[in-house]
Amino acid sequence: MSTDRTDVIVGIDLGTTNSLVAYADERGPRVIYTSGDGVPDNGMVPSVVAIDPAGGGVEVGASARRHAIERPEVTVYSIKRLMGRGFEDVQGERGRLPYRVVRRPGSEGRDIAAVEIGDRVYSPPEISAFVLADLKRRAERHFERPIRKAIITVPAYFDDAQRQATRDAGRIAGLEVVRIINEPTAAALAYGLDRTEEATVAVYDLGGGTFDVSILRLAGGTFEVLSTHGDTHLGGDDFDWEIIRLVQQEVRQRFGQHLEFPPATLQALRNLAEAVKISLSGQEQVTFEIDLGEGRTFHRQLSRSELEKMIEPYVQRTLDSCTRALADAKLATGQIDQVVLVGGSTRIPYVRRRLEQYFGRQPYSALNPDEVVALGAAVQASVMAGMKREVLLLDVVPLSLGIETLGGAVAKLILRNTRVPCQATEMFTTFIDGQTSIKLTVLQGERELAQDCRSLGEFELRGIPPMPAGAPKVQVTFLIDQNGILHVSAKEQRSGKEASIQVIPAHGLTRDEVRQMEKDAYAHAREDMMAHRLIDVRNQVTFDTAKTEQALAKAGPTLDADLRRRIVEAMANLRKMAETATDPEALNQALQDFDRMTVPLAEHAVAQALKEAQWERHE
Amino acid sequence: METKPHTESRDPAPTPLRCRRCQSEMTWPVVCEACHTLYPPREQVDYFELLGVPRRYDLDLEKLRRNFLALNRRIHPDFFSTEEDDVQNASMRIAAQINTAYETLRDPVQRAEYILHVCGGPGRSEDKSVPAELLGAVMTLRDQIDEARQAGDQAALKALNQQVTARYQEVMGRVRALAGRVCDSASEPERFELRQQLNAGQYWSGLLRHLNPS
Repeated sequence: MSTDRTDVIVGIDLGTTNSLVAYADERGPRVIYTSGDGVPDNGMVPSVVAIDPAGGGVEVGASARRHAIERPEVTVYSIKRLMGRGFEDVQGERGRLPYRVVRRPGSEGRDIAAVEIGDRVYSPPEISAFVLADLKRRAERHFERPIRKAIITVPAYFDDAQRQATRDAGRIAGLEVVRIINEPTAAALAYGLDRTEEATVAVYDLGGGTFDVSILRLAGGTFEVLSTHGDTHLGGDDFDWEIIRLVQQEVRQRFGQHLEFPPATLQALRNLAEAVKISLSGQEQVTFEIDLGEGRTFHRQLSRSELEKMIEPYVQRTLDSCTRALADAKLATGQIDQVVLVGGSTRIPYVRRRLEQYFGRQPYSALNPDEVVALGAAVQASVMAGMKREVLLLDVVPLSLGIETLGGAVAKLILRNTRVPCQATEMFTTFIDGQTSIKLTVLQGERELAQDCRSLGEFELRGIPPMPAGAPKVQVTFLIDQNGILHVSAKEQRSGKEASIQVIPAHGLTRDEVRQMEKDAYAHAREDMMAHRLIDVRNQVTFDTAKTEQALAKAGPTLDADLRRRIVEAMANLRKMAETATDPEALNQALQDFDRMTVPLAEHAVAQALKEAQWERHE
Repeated sequence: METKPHTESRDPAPTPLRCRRCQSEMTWPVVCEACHTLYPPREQVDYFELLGVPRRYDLDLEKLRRNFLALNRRIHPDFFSTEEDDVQNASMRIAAQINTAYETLRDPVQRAEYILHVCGGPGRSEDKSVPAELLGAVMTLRDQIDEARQAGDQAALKALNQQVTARYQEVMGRVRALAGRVCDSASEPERFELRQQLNAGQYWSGLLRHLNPS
């Protein structure tokens, strides 16, 4: 697909907790601080989607989050944790999420975690697409034109399935995802723009649900990732849950072990825990009270040091990741010139303190850690749009890629932290005479056994010419592109025949499924557009009829009585129609007719005004 | 889009390449800087030629890196995203090949293996022979490491680490000397020894990993 040079490309940070959209112009990157309805805000759209199971529509962002307590079972948050994951993978998450997580039906041979609301099942890309569509609308409002292209950021440690799911979400939202970039790399882009001297930087990105660390070498506009490590299930959410668990435990000790926490209470507790955590970044202790009903009140004072003790194991895990990333980059902590902080959770003083001890230098956070990833995505967007040539981004693949061999072992083809794009080729043959297809299981991960790695799916090479067993030589090329997404192609060497490849993604959607969702979403968007248009036309009817009423009053007895009667009648009809209309275009037509009919009234008003003016002049 | 290999030459300083589209002289075999036409290399491209460095073991690694970055600035897929699909694809394949070439030439062991490969004779993987006393020495040391580890004897482990590191460095010194000659003098006994030393290096680096698991 060729890219239209005039198209705006936006940069999107699709976060676990919040999402932002940014763009870059000649003055640099900036976040869009106005909602799709033109309301100014802080640019952060909570990654929350509330779906009315009765078919009443979808709310996104702050308005959806307000429903979280009243209707927790239809309010979806932290969907990023389910992206590209199997139902089996997310068992640990289920207890935390008040909405229903199920195995997506109709996905033979695959295992996809999905969300059930009412009688509909939504895959994670569909939920994320609602957030993306909201960000798209923001950008469209800002630019006053359709936006079709975006760069979306993902945690550096996202595997192929999680990246594909993110790209699918973009597609469902009507966005061509021209590039997926890693969040820490994006942050470095936002920071390192004007840097000319060479420096080695560690980007420490602790967000709501994910953690990444990337080691980069920056020199004259080149952003070269040396290594990356992380955990796609470690973030500020975990700290909240430590507080929630503590409260639950103590509440039960006091009021009885049988005490249940229904979804609404759990949601309230979640909001409280987050607020407590944030407060403890600024003050030494926080006092809170929970009304449990029936005259039971739980009162607690929590100190910063208590919180620090609770989150210590998590912070230690992030430092272990730093150690691995440094080892892979063949660097010591002393060789890092700067430690850059990204993500809301790096506001926690304990995180900063431990990092400072670890690296032996004060971490750096000149830019808002919530915005820096979106800003970096916008910088890359201007590179992709051909506006900027001085930036060169060289990133790596976070996880090794391999294939399952006989006996369940893994043959690694591409090692982790290999620069992308990269490719590996491997020869395969047949075991049976006349065999025309070969099945491969492709895996990502560092472990030696296939069962300990993540399966990306089954690739079936078809169309191999029938030959005796062992005779075909099928050369399979595994290419990981600059986005960290795998492409597989195969060729039978003796016949030179290109083998076709049927892919069954282990945890992902097929191309046809994504296409169908895209179509459905487009239809929904049309419905939404109709609803918006109807509201607009109705408002215009109210406005025009009110003006006509004023004009009629002002015209007084000089207006032709017959004309007056006809206008009053038409006005009543139009108002009645506006109340019941479902088709905005029909209503608009009626409005146009009405406006035409009131032209003589307007002319009458003008003539009268002229007469008055002349009269004034004569005086 | 031109997809044919552009040169069959093995000589690192061939007659100047010319772009088939605009006839300009080309600095790099894979891209014309004048008209931005891409020339995806064939699979058996010479990595030295690709990255514009002389074909020899002792390389100026800084120059290798500079060329690698300069080339990326001309062919990286991010700069072709507004082009047609086949051009985007070509830039991706060139970038992948450049990455492989750079990783191979940058690493002293892989560079030696690559030199063996391009200057004839079987590669390390086709000839697994090792110097005579190697296996015995490796096994003895491995036993000593395991014993020291069980006894929790940190001093002994440190000494063993030093010993293995020294052996590895000794092998690498030999690799450097031999690989530096392979393309010029190219005597089969020397190539044979290089393969043996490279295989020995694998054993020693394996032992180092055993000593310092990540």
